[in-house]
Amino acid sequence: MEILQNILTGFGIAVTPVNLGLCLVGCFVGTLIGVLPGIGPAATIALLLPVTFKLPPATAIIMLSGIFYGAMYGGSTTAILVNIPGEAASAITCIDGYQMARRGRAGPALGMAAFGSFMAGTFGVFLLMLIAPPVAELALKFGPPEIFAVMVLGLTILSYLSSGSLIKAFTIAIVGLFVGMIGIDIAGIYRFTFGIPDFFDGIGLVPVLMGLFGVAEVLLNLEQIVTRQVFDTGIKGLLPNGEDWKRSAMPILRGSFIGFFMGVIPGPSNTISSFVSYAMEKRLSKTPERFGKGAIEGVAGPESANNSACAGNFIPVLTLGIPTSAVMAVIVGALIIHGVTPGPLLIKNNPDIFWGTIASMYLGNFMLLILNLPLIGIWVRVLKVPYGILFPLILLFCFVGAYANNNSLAELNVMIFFGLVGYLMKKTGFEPAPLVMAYILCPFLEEAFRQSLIKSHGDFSIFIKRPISAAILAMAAGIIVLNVFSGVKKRRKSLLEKI
Amino acid sequence: MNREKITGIFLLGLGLAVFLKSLTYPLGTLRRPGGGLFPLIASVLLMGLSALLTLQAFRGKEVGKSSPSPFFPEKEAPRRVFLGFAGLIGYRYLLPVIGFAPSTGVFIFFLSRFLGKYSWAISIFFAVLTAVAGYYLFEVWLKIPMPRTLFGI
Repeated sequence: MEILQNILTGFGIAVTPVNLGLCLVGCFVGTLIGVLPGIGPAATIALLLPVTFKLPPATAIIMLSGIFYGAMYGGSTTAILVNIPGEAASAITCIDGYQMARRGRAGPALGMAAFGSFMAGTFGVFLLMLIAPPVAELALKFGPPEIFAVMVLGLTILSYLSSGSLIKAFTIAIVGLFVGMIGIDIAGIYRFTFGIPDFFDGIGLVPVLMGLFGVAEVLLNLEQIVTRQVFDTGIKGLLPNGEDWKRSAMPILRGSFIGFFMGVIPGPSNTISSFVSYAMEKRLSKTPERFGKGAIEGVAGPESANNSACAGNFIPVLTLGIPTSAVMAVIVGALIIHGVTPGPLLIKNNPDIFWGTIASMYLGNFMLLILNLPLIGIWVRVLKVPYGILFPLILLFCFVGAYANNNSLAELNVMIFFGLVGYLMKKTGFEPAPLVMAYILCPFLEEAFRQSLIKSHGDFSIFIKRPISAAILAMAAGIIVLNVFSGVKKRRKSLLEKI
Repeated sequence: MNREKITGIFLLGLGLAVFLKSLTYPLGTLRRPGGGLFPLIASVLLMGLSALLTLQAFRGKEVGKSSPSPFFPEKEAPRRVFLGFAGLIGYRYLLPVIGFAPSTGVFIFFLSRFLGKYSWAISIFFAVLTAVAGYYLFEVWLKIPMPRTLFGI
């Protein structure tokens, strides 16, 4: 009953007028940037971070997380009505969502996406509430070797799941490690700074993100200006009918589970879990030929998965202090700015933040249901803004976001540089996600690595002598071996092609 | 020389550069690892992987999905990408000279006139509107301290 007591305290914090209001602001902004392609939640959270400086930490986190899960709701609207993902995590929804819209069923598609998101989001928060506290207790027993092993496993899974070649994914992850090494190390040595003072504190996350995701994406889109068509003629009844519900119930349930557990893995798990959910629904379906022609399961499953993944994302941050995605890295930054150390002690030392945020997520998911169904007209109007108007504004936001991070012009150089790098990476078949994750994890990874060696007096076998770390590393090795020696890769590829 | 080969060789060179640079940092001992050890290990891994990529490229084995498609999808593409990139660089260097609102105006005008292909009038209107709204949103409301200009304002 302790949990009931805690969540009631949480609601006590979440329903104060300020927290409730800022939760709504977060959800609203989240939906807006979710609808707009090209501006992601990580960049937006970073841009709004300075606004939260004067707020209490719990309020700040409540608002910032609202932007995150709100973006997952908004992304589906663009996918369904325009056939382009408003958010990377909605890419797969385009397939059947857009087909439904073309057949005059945009209403039920939007409705099911919102209901699925609501149910899965709420379910994810419920699991987060149940699982995070015991995992944090367990994590207190983790030493540097275990933390190192967890991160190696995470990066391996991420490389395995990213599309394209595994070698390329690993290669670009190591390049990401190099980016993360720039600056002062734990022993106080300046590395790879080339005497440039702006690099002494390391390369800022925000300009790297804005460059790789924002600028690179715009440069790629500039190659061909495609006129978009918004399919909003069929938005009349937003409520799905009985048949729709019958088809979608199980996909929503499965998507909720897949999303949550994949959310725990480092990387863009919102995106990956939605792909996995789609592939699974297609495989389990008795009528797989309907997929790609407007099957509502292809909307319900993935949209549920990406929302549930948001909650899963919080587990490693709240229990180990390790960010699992770019958004979480910004949230970790926000916690640190507010004087809160993310890690196993967070729930114990700052119960107001943990339980307040959990409670606000229940409320936020409800607000989002209202924002996305009765108010759908607003978002349709936002969508009608042509790309020619949109892309200068996206670049402007990237520019200001990168600059405002440290009020430094050097960060703008970094952003432009990574914009070019990101563009070239797309052209040569490299995914940006492994690079970003390795870069984010690098300081944690190196610290755990060095501390492990100090602890073992220079004996590398510490990583395999301790049972937990040995088991985790064995899993990572297993993935690589499987990939090299069996047809798994081919099967995975054909699975992706089938989609 | 195709894209795959160039990428492989470039990454191999990057690995080598990091390898040599990490030797200049204290490696320490395994008992007390120094700042050079981790980059050294990572650079050896990178050299190994990129050598593999290069080898695959030279053997003509296709890696990933990129190779067969042309680098630019259409003739206009390089010019448009270059203009977009030039706009960003221009904005970056104009910002500390003439200040946030004016440089934003110039930037937005440049993009909408030459890449968005809007008429002069619409581009100017959009530029002024964005500059004014941006000024109030970022400088006044969000209180982001923009760089001082040459004119000291």
